[in-house]
Amino acid sequence: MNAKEFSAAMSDIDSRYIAEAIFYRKKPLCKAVLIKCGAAAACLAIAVTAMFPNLPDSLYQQIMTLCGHQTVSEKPGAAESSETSEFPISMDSIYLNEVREVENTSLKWFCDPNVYDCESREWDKESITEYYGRDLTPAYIPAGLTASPENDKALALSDKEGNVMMDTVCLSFYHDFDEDGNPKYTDNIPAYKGIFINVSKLGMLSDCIYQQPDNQLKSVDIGGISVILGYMAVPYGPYDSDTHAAAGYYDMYTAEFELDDIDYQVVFRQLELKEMVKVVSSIILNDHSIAVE
Amino acid sequence: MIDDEVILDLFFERSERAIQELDRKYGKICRSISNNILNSLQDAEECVNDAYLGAWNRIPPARPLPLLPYIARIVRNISLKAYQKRSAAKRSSFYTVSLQELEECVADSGGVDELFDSQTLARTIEAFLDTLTRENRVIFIRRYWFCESYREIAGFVGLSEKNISVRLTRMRKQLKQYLQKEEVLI
Repeated sequence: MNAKEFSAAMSDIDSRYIAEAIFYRKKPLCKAVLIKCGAAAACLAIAVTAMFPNLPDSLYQQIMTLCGHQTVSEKPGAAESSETSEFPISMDSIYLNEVREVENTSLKWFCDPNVYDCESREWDKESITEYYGRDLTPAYIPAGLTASPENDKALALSDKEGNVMMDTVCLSFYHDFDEDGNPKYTDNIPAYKGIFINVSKLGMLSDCIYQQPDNQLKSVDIGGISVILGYMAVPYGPYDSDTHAAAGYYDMYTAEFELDDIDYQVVFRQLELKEMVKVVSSIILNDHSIAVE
Repeated sequence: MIDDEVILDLFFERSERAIQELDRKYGKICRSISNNILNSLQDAEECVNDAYLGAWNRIPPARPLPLLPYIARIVRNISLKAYQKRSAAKRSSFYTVSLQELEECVADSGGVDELFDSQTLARTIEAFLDTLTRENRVIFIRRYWFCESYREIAGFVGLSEKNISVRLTRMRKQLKQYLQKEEVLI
């Protein structure tokens, strides 16, 4: 088959697809404008753009200024601004599946007979990037988090033929580390605060166990990638000696998705949901300035 | 703007106003579709006029609702035929670029398997489209059916050109995998 044959077949697809593409209504004009300028200015921006869709940016700016509103850094629907990406993610579209447990199952890989006879190799950052075809560090990391000194290393296993049998890379970004490079608990809550990212091309990740069966999990679309998001209220101590009740609970969010044949599993502890969405979006879109509203 | 039903009534009455109203309502998008393929306003005008004649000959008995997808399909088919008649040197348009993109993902060693005629392939493409999100489906159709530029698509769906490019790259990859799985690609 060639492209012409494909294109000819496209002519025969049902009209409902054509109609959908014709009558599709785009997202509401960038809500980042609302955040920057207030609703009134945004309404004016929308009205001006609707009336004059081809208005030059300079003239648009003048109109907004004459009307007494703060000049927006971009016209709705215009090219990417230097401050924030034009690809806003709506929190309304975020759905969280309930997580029962995140089980560290990495040890099981070592018990696999195909694996434990393998030769181990320490990968440096260059080897990791070469194997995965990309820098695995997210484009956006929330303020206050530091990359672990171990992020630029990974232990890979290869068989006698040189085939990679274990390729899991772990990246972590926590609020603080001790002198041995281990993450520290936060002061107020005895728990980690940060991001833990597991990646593998061979599916060798921890098991994220949800309350719902797999076929009832709901995913969200971020940048064309299907992402399964999860939430769990994690208890922390000290625990009451009589009732065993936890001192409190902190938020843990999870994100699982496949991007360019790489499986990602990201765990967020004591971070806001919006920050998680920004991090995940930045991995998928390779953009540090995702607007989330 | 006049209703499609009213335009169709004019066709059924064999009133010349039918073509006038059709052109007033949908002429711009029809010329845009044709120009995206032919990259010539003059040739696009001719194709659109031919499409109106085609619609005149088919309506009645056809009574297509909504009307735009119907007339857009006629325009596209006529424009593609005109494109094929051109010499290779004169083929330069958004359609040409979109064909080059598709070539990378749908080309295989042989022609379309005899089991996969155009209609069957169309059903396979529809099944693939059904695997996409609505937004991605719209982007795909506007690129490979309407042959719009990244800029036009970005403006239409409210995303950046870069985002459109990234999404289309991923969708072409998914398309290739899908066609291989369905054994359309050898």
